[in-house]
This record gives sequence, C-alpha cells and structure tokens, in this order.
Amino acid sequence: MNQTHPVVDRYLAQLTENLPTLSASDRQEILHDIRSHLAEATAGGRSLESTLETLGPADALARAYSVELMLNPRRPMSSPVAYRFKVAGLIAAGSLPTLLVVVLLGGVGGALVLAGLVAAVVGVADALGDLPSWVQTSGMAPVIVLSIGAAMMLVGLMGLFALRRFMRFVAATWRATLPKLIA
Amino acid sequence: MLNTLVGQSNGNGSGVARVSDWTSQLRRGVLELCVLQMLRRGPSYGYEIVSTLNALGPLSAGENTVYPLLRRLRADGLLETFVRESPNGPPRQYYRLTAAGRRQLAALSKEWDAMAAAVALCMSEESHHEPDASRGRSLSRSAD
Repeated sequence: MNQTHPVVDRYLAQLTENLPTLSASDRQEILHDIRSHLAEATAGGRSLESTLETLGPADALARAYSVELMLNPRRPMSSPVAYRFKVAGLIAAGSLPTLLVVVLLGGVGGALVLAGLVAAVVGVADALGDLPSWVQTSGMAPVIVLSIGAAMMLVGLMGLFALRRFMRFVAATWRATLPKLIA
Repeated sequence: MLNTLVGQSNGNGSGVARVSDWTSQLRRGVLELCVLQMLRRGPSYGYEIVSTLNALGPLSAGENTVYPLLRRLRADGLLETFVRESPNGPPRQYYRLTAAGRRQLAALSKEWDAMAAAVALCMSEESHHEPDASRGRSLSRSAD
C-alpha cells in the first residue's frame, strides 16, 4: 500500500514549493501528515481524487499552513533579554567544571611530567655515578628512582591526554550547540 | 447584538453567507479546545483526528483547517509528535499533549465553561422578558 502515485507526488511537491519559509523539519512533518492522510483515506476506500479534492489545492493548503503559523507565532519562552541572560548563565555554569578539569588535569599532569623527568634524570645520573653532592636520593637505588620518575611521567602524560580528550569534547559540544543557542 | 445577528440570518442570501462566516469563526476558536480535549484521552494521528471531528457535525472543520491547526499547536509546544507503524501505508505521525498542552487545555476548558454559561444566560427566556434594569445587571455579572 506504499503507493507513490504521480498525482500524490505532484501534490506534495506543490505543497513543498509553497512552504518556503518553514524549517526543513517542519516541512517534513507537514508532508508526513498529508502523505499519511492520503494513504489512510484511500486504504479506507475513498478515491484518491475525492480525498485530494477535500484537501483542496496544494497552494491553498500551503497558504492555510502559513497563515496559521504566521498569525499565531511561536510563543516565546521568555523575553529576548531574559533569554540572553539564560544563555549567559548556562555558559557560566558550563564553564565551571571545564575550569576545574583544566586546572586539575593540566596542572597536576604537567607537574607530574616535569617532576618525573627530573627524577628520571637523577636516576640515570646516579646510575652513571656522577650525581652532584647537593642531590639527595635518600639512599634509594638508581633503578627505583628511575622507575618512580618514569611512573610519574606516565601518570602525568595520561592526565594531559585526558585533558586533550576533554577539550576536544568541549569543542565538539560547542560546535553542535552554539549555532542553536544563537539562532 | 444577538438580535441583529438573528435579523441578518433571516434576511436574503447574503445573510446566509454571514451565518456560515459566523459559524466558521466560532468553530475556529473552539476547535483548539476540542483537539486538545480529544488528545487528552491519548495520542492520535491526523486522519483519526480529522475523521472524529468530521463526525461531529458543526465541528467538522475540514482537513485544510485541522492539519494546519495541529502544526500550530505543535509549534506552540502544546503538542509533540512521534511516529508509529501503520497497517495502511506510511508510518503514522501521532500527536500527543505536552505538559504545556495539558495546562492550556485546563485553562481553555475553564474559559469555555464560563463562556457557555454566559451565553446560556443571554439566550435564556427570562433574560429577554425581564425589564431593562435586571437584564443590564445579569449581563454585567456574566462579563466579570
């Protein structure tokens, strides 16, 4: 019963043509309504001709949609000023966790990488036997100092990597939602 | 004012046209209430809504009024849509009330009750025969 009758196609095309100001999704849902109306009516035994006749000409139907949607514009959720404030609040609230994550992952990650690097260098220098007298390793074996440094660097790098992932996620979210907020 | 309307309807052909104009204007306002009320019982799709209204005589508004109205209610956030399979062809687009739609329905029902009561008062026999003073009083009461 999924007929794509040429008359139906022409009618729907004409309807689309006459609804240029609507968003694509609105237009799609209107076409959905009319297409199923025709299918249900003809499945119920009505002829396609009489069904189309009661719907009226496509341009008249399109006008009825435009008039209804224009005369009764969307009720705004709030005034434009209040809306701007809401967006600003949303951005501020959304920025707070970002700030925390950046400080935590960036600061701790960076510090761990640097400290690990220093520890590793100390470990290597200790193993080679020319450790300056002002460096104390508390009697730890050079291998242990080296591996502690490496472990610290690893954890630090993991933090920085997680930070990068998070920043990418934030950027993608902004790209997806910012146009909608502004529009 | 009611008398002038009745007077026009009793006149010639143009009077009949005015009555149908008047009826369609009256229906226009009430239709929103009826569609919302219909959807309170559960989600429904365009063809079912149109057919139900068509069976209701004076409320039969025609597809080219009902479908645009559904879109407007949707745009206003009173209805939302979802899609479900149909045995008769393409999937059906169902409409259902949102929370805002329920609130709107409650508000409109209240308005309608008040309006219907006021109109009934206007149309009641005694309000035509009572002296001017009392008629003025009952009308001003219904206008509150």
